[in-house]
Amino acid sequence: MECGALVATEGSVVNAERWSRAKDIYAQAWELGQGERKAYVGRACGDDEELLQVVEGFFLETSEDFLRAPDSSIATGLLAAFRTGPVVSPRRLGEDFELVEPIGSGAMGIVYRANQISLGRQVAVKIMQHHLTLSRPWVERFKREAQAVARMRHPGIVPVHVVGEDSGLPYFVMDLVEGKSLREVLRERRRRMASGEAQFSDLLPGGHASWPAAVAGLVARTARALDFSHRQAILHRDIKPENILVDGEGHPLLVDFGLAKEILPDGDGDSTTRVGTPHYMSPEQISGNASAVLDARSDIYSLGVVLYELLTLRRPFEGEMPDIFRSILEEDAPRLRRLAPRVPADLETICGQAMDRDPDRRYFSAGELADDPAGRRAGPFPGGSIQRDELPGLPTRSREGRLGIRDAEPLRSLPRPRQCGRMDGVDLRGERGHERPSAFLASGQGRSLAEQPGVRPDLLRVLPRRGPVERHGLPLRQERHTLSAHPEEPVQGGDHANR
Amino acid sequence: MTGAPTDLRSGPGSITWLLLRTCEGDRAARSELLEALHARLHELAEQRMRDQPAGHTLQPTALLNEAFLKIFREAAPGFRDRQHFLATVSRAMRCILVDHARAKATRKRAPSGVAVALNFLVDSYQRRAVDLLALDEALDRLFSLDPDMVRIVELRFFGGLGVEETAQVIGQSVRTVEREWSAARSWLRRALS
Repeated sequence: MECGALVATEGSVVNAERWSRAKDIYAQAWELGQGERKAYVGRACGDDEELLQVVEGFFLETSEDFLRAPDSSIATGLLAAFRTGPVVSPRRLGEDFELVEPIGSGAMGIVYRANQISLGRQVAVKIMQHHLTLSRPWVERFKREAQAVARMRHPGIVPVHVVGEDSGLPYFVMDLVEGKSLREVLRERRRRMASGEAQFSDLLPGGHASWPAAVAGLVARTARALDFSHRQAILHRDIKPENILVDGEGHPLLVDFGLAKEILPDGDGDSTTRVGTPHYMSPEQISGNASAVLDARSDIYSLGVVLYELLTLRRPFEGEMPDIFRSILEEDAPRLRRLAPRVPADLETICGQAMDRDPDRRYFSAGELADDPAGRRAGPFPGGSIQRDELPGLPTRSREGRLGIRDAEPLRSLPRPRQCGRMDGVDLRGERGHERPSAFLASGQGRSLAEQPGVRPDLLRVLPRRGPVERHGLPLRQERHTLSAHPEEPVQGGDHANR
Repeated sequence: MTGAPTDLRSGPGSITWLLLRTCEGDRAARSELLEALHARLHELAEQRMRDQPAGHTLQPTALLNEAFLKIFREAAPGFRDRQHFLATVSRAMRCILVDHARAKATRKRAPSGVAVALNFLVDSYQRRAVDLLALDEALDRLFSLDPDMVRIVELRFFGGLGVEETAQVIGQSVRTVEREWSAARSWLRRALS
């Protein structure tokens, strides 16, 4: 008793050094059983009575209630609220939205079905996860990206209508998509295949002749939407089956744009903020540090993984963290057609190119993937024609998709590079020179990007560079010479095709 | 929707700012924080009372809970991360409770809805066999010897955090927190008796 009092009143008696000595002895003794403890403390303290008293003071019995937080503790309530989701009273957001029920959750937020009172309709509201609102950078990111997505209008992207905040809780309002995610499609397809059911027209509607054809169509449309977003300088960063919804007509819709970037690699060490599945991450997403620069090709890789999974019903790399990381970084995926022999060779080629470990060997843009003539042979790969109807005026072969953009800052004034995809039915994609900004300059067709007004120099850093011309022994160029003169693909001239 | 722009809520003089300063040990900020918190608590409580249908009475703790939730959530974006937030909230709860226990003892504050609610809260803490004023003083003395131990007490007792969460916040193992917590309770029991 006196010991505590001494410490409390006369710091000189128990100074910091003595205190920490007592703590050390206490820590050692703590590891021992009741019986040995006393003897050990006695030995360790020797004839230092005061030290002994301090150490013994740490072992005093206390009543169970002493210093136990009351059940009604404010902080307990606060924590509970942060764990379980919004406490919006009465389940109302802003002036206009009434939450009905949670229908899903993404990396950063929980999605609710909600009533929009003023318009008498149902919408989807994504509310930021409570514990993430504790970090200002994440709040900023959530809002910024919501705003960026709100500026996008594309049939393959779920539109965002309102971005708001209620009691410090950011949210945004989207169309409510009545459909299912590709994750659910995959689950059902697996179940049916296991029981010998081949029927798929309700899973991927659209009157396709075969599953691979339906998949090809779906992935091409997804690639179009992705290409569109890349051209708005928005990376998705979390392409996976959960984030691709399929509506009643079998059209894909991308959701959950780019919101996960900050929390994919390490988070803040808080495991609750870590995203569940690493299986769709690109090698550069895994190997890069937090500030690693990703570009469009990272999303293309992830889309390749989705394509692979849709075709084979298994993911190219299985396993848990961190083994899965090593697999993605070092291993080749099992050959697609060995797992699914009925898949056309062209789709395997497309998948292989999208999933190449080396970003330089991948498609340059998601549009390039969608346009790949090999895809059209493999099934009705809805290339440019469909999307051109839906979006009049959009160039089909724009190269802007290859701009790697770190943040959701649209490049409004980005000059459209000269198109250089095809000329007179000959695929020029092998002639890489045209596609580099420097070659651009040299060819006299335009100024380098760095010279263009309005182009941020920091973004130039993240332009993917074309790798060497040869491609791994794949006879791609030769193959494409014969394929590119597709009836529905208008031949692009060599002159400026900017709209 | 809250119309207040972020900088108003986290700039100098804001509750967030005062919270941060207080936790860095700024005494002046602490008293300013308490005043700001009281003002905001009153404001929220009155507003809540007005919104209440006639004949309904709100549980004092429910009222406080709601108000604190709102205040701390508004302050939240000012924190580095969850750990920082929890540590700060726990420290703030210590300040608020001790301050109110003192006001109660000296009958300094006029009775009001918030005071009643805070009384209730202080009582629920005092029932844990603790004189809050004496505890506060003992923690101040302990701080000079063992600041980590004080943080654990703040998180466990004032913050109401479990052992695992406390371990996360201070970046120690669960076992260490259990050991330190046990020592802290023993030491404080003696210091308070």
